Amino acid sequence: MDLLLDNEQQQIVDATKSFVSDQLPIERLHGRDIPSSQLADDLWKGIAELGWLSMTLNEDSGGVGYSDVEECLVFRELGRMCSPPRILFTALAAKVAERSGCNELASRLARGETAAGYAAKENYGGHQSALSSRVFEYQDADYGLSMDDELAQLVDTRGVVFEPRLGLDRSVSMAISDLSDCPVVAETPVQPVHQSAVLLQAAMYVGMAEATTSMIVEYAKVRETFGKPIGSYQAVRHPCADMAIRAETARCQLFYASLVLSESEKCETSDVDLHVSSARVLAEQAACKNSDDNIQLHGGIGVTDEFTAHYFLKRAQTMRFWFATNREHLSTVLSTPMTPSR
Amino acid sequence: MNIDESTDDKLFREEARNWLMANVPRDKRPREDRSALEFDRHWQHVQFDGGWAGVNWPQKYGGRGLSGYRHMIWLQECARAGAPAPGANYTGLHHAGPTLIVCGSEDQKKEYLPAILKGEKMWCQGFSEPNAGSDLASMRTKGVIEGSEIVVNGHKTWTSNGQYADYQELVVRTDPESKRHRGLTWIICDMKAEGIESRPITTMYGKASVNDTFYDDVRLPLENVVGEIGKGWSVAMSTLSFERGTGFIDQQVKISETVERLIEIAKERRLPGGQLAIENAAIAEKLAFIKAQTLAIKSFTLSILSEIERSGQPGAEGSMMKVYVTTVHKHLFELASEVIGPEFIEYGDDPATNEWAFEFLYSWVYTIAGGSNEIQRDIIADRVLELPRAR
Repeated sequence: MDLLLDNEQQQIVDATKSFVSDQLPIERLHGRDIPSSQLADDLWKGIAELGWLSMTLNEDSGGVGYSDVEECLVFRELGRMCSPPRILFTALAAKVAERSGCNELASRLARGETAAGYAAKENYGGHQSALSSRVFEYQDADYGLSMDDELAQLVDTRGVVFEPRLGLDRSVSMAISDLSDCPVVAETPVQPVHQSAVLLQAAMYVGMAEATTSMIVEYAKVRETFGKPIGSYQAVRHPCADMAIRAETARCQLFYASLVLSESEKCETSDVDLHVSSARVLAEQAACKNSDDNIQLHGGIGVTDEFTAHYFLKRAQTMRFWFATNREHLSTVLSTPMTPSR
Repeated sequence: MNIDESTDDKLFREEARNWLMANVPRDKRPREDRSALEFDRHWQHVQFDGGWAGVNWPQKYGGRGLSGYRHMIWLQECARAGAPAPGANYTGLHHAGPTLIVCGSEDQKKEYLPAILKGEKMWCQGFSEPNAGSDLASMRTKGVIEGSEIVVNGHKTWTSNGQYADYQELVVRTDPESKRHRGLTWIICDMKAEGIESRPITTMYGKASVNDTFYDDVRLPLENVVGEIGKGWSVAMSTLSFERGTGFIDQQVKISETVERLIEIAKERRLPGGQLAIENAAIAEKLAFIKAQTLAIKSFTLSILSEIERSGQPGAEGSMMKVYVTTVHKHLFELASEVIGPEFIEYGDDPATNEWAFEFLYSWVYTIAGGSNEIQRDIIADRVLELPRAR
C-alpha cells in the first residue's frame, strides 16, 4: 500500500507539467475570438506523440501501455491550464474504438490523425427534440463520442449540420445537433468507458482546484492592502487553507479511485463506481468552489477579462454537464456498497 | 502507487479479526466514571496479554514494532468487531506514548511505555491554561529548578480525566525571563504528588471528566523532564503532530462506520408525511456527499501513512486532516438530526442516554481541542502554503 508517486510516475508528471506550461499556458486563452480547440496542427501532433491520447491503449493500437493511474496524472496536469478537452474526448474515443475491436481507428485517433468531440444527449424534456445532442469540441472533429445507459458509441459526424452555440467557456466549441442518423463506427459496453471518462474528468478538476489555490496563494504573498500583504490577514489566509484542504482531499480520493479502477481490469471488483463517483463529486466541488474563492480573494482584478481567474470558473461550470451530473454521481455513491476488504 | 494489501497484511488482518471475535468484551462500557475507567483498563490489559497493544510501538517496550499501515488495519478490525474505544487510555496511547518514543530517555521509555500498553497507568494532558489556549506559547505556569527538583506553581485547564490519571504531560515555564516558545520544559507530572488539585468543569454535553488543575508547590524530580530543559516547545509540538497525524485514524474509522449506520437508519426511518428518510432527495444527497468525504478521509489517511513510511514522520498535512475530519464529523451529526427526527433531541446529560446527541455536542470538542481549526488554518497557511505570517 502506497499512495505516493514512484520515480517513473514523478517523471511523467514533470514532463507533462513542463510541456503544458510551455505549449498550453493558461494565457493562451486571452482573445476570445480564437477558440482554442483549433489547436495548431503541429501542437496536436506533438500531444499525440507524447502519448496523451493513448496512455492506456495496447501496443497494437499504438498505445503506451500505462495504467489509469498514470493517465490520471497526465490529465491532472492538463486541468491546471484548462487544456483543450479535445485531448480528453479523443483519448476516450480511442478507448471506445479499441474496445470495439477497431484497432485501426484507435491508432488513427491515438496518432492524432483525427479527433473526437463529446455528444451529450439533451434529455431535459424541454424545447429541444429528444434526438438532439449538445456536442462539445465539435470543430475539427470527425467523430462524436456518446454514452447512454448501455453503450458507448462513436459516430461519424462528418457532413452533419451543427447549430453553433456560444458558451461561457469560449475555449470549448459547442453546438447543438441531431446525430441520430450518423453512422455508428464503434460501440462497446458503456461501464468501463464511463468510469474512465469520469476519472479523467475528476483528474482535470483536481488540477484546476490546485491551480486556483496556487494562483491566489502567489498573489496573496505580493498584493498589499493597509500596508501588509493580504496573505497575512486571516480573512484571506484561512479561505486559502480551506482551498488547499479541498484540493488535497479530492486529490487523495482521485489517486485511490485510479488505483481501484486500474485493479478492476485485472480482477472483479464491485466498488469502482463508488470510488470514481466519489472522486468526481469531491473534485467538482473543489474546482467550482476554489475557482469561486480565487476570484473573490483577488478582488476587482479577479473579474477582469485580462486576468485568467475567470477561465477556471467557466471551465468548471462547463464540465459539470459532461459524463452525468453531480446529482447522478451522488446517487451512485449512496447506492454502491463498500467492499468489506477496503 | 498501489493499493494491494500484501499477503502478510491480509494474514495480519485475519489474525486480528479472529482474535477480536473471541476477545471483544460483550458488556457495554459502564456509565459510572470509576467503573468505566476499570473497564478501559481491563480492555487495554486484555489487548496487551493477547499481544495486540501498541501495534506500531517498538517491541522493546511491549509493542509489536509493526508499520503504521498495520496499525490502521488493527483499528479498522477493532471498529468492525465493535471493540471498545481506548477511552481513558487515549492520551497515553496517542500522545504521551508516541512523544516518549521519540523524545524520551531510555529509562523513561522503560518505565512508562509498557505501563501504558498494559492499561496500568493513565495519562492526562497539561498544556492549556486559562490565558493560553490557541496562544499556547503564552503559558505562565512556573517551574523553578531547586536542586534535583522542579517546583511547579500555576493553573492548567481542560485536563481530561485529570482526577483519575496517574501521570500528566505537563509543560511549564522554567526560565522566568523567557518569552513565548523559549524557556518551556516538558515534564512528566505524577498526579498523586502533593499540591495538585483537580476541579471538575461542567460542559455543555453534561457529565464529563474535564478539569481545572491547580499546582501549589508541586515538587517533581528533574529526571522526569522529557527532552531538554528549556526545549519543551518542540517536544510539545511533536506530541501534537501525533494527535493531528495518526491520532485521527481512530476517528476516521469511526466516522465511516457511523455514516454506514446512518444510511441504514435512513432506510427505515420515516419523515413527517410518511416518506422514508433515504427517499428524500435533500437527505440522500447530503448522506451521499458525506459518504464520499469519508472515503476521501481514508484515502488521505493512507497518503499520510505512506508519507510517514517514507520520511519517518507526519508533516503539516496533519493540520489539513484535523480540519477536514472534525468538520465532516460535525456535518454528519447535524445530518443525523434530520434522519433520526425528534428523538435526536432527547438527552439526559450523559452519552449513554443518546450517543447521537452526545457526539453532536462533542463535535465542538473536536473542532476546538488540540489546536482549534482556526489555529490549524494558520499552520496550513504558514507551513504548507508559505504565506506571509499573520503575527
